[in-house]
Formats: sequence, C-alpha cells, structure tokens
Amino acid sequence: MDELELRRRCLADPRSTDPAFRRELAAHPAMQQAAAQALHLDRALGFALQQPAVPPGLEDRILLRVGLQQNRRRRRLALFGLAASLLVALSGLLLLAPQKQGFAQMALAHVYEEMDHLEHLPSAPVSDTRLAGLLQQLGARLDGPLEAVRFAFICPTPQGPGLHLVADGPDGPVTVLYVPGAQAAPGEQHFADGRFSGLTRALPEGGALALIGNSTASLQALDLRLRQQVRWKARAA
Amino acid sequence: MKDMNRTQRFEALVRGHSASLYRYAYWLCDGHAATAEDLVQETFLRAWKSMDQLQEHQAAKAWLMTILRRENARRFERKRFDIVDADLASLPELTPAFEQDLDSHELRRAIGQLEPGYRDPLLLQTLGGFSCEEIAQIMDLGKGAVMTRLFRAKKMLMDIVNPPQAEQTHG
Repeated sequence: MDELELRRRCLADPRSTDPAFRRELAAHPAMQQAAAQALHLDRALGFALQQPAVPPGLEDRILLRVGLQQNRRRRRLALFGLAASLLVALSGLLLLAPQKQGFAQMALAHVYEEMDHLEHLPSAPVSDTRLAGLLQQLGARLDGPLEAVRFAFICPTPQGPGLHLVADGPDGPVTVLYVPGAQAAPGEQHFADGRFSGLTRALPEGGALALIGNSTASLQALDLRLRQQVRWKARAA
Repeated sequence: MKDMNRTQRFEALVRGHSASLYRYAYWLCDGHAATAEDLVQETFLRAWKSMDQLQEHQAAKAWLMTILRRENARRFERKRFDIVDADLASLPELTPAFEQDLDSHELRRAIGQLEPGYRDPLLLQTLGGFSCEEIAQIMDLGKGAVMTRLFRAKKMLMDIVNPPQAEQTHG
C-alpha cells in the first residue's frame, strides 16, 4: 500500500478494521495523526447530522398508516359483512340529533378505519408522561394514571385535531376520541350499531368526547376513569 | 400467532430505525421535511409488505435504507415534486455550546453543497454506520469507488469549512 493509498483510506474510512490498513497505519506514525484528524471529522459529522430533530409522533404515524393500509385490504375482502354492519350503524345514527349524528358518525367511522389497530395493539402500555404530553397539546390535563391505555395519538378529524386513545376494557378495547373543536348534542347520548356500543358527551368546558367499545359496561368503566383523572380544557379560565 | 410476530417485529423496526431513516431521507430530499416524512412512511409501507424477505435482524437497517433509496428514485420517476429547499445550515441546534454549534452549522452548510453522488455514501457512513463494503452493496458500486467518493466528499467538506490559504488571501 503506497502512501497516497494509505492517506486516501485514512480519510475515507479511518475506522476500517482491515488488517492490511491497520498494519500500514501502525508503521507510519505521521499517518496516525491524519487518521486521528479524520476520526475527529467523522465525530463532528455525526454530531452535525443529528439535525434535524425527528418530527414528534413519526413512529406512531408510520404504524397508524400501515395499520390503515392493512385495514383497507381486509375491508375489501370482508366487504359484505362490513357493508351490512355500516348499514345498521347508519340506520341507527339517522335517528340521532344532527349535531350528535355528525360527531358520533365520525367517531364510529374512525374506529372502523382503525380496526386493524384494535386487533394488533402494542403490548406495552402508553406511559402517563406521554399521555399527559398529548393531552396538554389539546389544552387538557392528566391528574392521575389512566391505566391500560395501549394506543394514544393526535389524529386529524374534520372538526380539528383530536386525541385518539385505545384502552383495555372488561370486554375488549375501548376507543376514546376527544375533539376540542367539535360539538355534540347536550348531555350524554348513547348509540349502537351491529358491532359496537358508543356514547358521546358534550363537555361543559367545550369540545366533545366519544367512547366506543364492545359493551356499555366497558364504556362506563373507562368513562369513570376519565372523569376522575382528566381535566378537559385545563387552561380555560 | 405468525401475524402477531410479524406485527411486533415490524413495530421494533419502526421504533429502532425511523429516526436514522428520517434524517437520511431529509438530506436526500434536500431539506424538505414533509417530503422526507412521506418518503419514510412509504419506505415502511413497502417494508411491511416485504417483511418475509428480511431474514436477518442485523441486516434490517441496510435493507430499509435500500428500500428508502429505491422509493426516492421512484419519486423522481413518478414526478418531480416542487421541493422548497430549506436552509440546511440554519436548523435549530440541540446544544447551546457555541463552538460545537458553529462547527455543526458550517458542516451542514458544507454537506448541503456536496453533489448527491458524494453526499450519499457520506450519509450512509455517518448516519447508517455502514462499512465501505455495506455502502457498496447498498449503492450498487464497487468498494474502491465508495472509498474514493468518501475520500473526495470529506476532502471537499474540509476545503469548504477551511478554505485553502491561497483562496482566502487575495489583494
């Protein structure tokens, strides 16, 4: 290996473990200085390329998109069953007041969209720190642990950004959708289709909340925890 | 059960590699953050569909980088997006240390000036931690060519950050 080649390899790949390169380097003290400088440059490059910061929520968005894609494929295969289910949902929702109908319908559609996620939830629960951070983004506050939340993500909805949670319930997963910019019919309204039970609540602080799950018991259990542990619109006067 | 394993393996890939992939994509897209995120999402969508091709977990990063590069090339085949170049040197810093700050700022500006053919192996080496052999495989080049490109890229960076004396003095 001539000196030019050694110099080239020092700069290009100073970490190389190639025995011939290491041997030549050991035999040329002057080149060791060049190799040290090249390592210094590599470290500086590594530091510089830590920018930009990765957008918050990127991993969740990737998992969500892949889940949705999967769901679309499965939906095509199960078209008849789902169409029947949606028909039942639609006929039930038509009986509801117009405002509630919109919010409940949107929440239910959201759950069907993310059916695949409900079937393949991450095994690790979402940390309270992360939950508190997401709630804070929407002006709400977590006062105590919610427990057994398996998915948390800020989703775009037609009424603006909303917090989408999925938590374990006694009869399977329960989906929560909190949209600060949405309106729902006053008080608490219940609805159901062939598959899910749901409730919507217009929050006194503003915004609307929907819970959708396999049974009314599951909804009530989680609703109670939410009432105890979350202050919606904590920043409001 | 098989499906669950596949989902968990995929989630581990996303959690483990999305940050490096995003940073690599960011530079491939000339600093356009939204396009970089799209590219990373497309990469993982394709990875999900081809998960069965990934035999060894250790090879996952190189596999994902290769998919990302192909997706990027496909992006140019489909259409050329109107990319607004961000000022790559003016990104917010993570450290308040002034000296390091200045170095990183200068280096990013210099990296932004490199031709893609030189910048690419440098990013793979620095962000991906790949050896010259691995970069050669990912880029479908010879090892010697990779080494030459790395040498030239770093030489150009050094010249940009510290211009040769003769170019600096004029009168």
